[in-house]
Amino acid sequence: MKKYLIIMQHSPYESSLALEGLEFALAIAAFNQEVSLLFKGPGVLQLMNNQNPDPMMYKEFTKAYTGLSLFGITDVYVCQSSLAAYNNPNLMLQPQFADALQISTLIKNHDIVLNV
Amino acid sequence: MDIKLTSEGFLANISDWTPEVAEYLAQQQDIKLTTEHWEVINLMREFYFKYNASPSIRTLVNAVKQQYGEDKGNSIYLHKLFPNKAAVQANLIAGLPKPIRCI
Repeated sequence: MKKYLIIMQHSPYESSLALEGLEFALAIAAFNQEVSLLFKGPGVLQLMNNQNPDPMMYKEFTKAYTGLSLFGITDVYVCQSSLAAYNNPNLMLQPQFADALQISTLIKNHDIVLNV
Repeated sequence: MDIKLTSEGFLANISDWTPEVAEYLAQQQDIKLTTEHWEVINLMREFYFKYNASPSIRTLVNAVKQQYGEDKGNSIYLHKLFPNKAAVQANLIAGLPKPIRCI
């Protein structure tokens, strides 16, 4: 079993990158691999509460983040300084917070690191 | 029954679903719906609207286990109810779109 770290760096609706990152994470988790998520930079916006995107334009795919444990993903990290840069918005889940040093340790401790 | 289906037998329009439509879709799959089937179908729909995603078989097992316990939260039980790719077949009868992920 390999340990995957997926680093989410894009805001949810600017492009399909955020959705693709989530789909990848769920697919890998379905193969019983260990998956951790790290939200960083604009990526932290994916976890914001009450997104209410226009349903005609976007599917609110980020709702899946509230059920991550059912999908087999339990380790969710958020870059502390990124969150501070967005004035610490309310998040839809309770992540573990990571500073720069902890992030570098995270990257070292995973076999495969994917930047999305 | 006058409803639109995709070429793979999924409901073309998610809002067309009613319990009667589910009976019809199940019939197309050679399944006679029982209380046990309904438990899973209702859970599928709840899951889909809550998380905006279709569960994979593994995820469905976890969700059923959480709701109805170990006896039902396993893939053998689910495959007995929905013999042809449980997660996909239950998804179809629950009137939800074909899952993007195939697993």
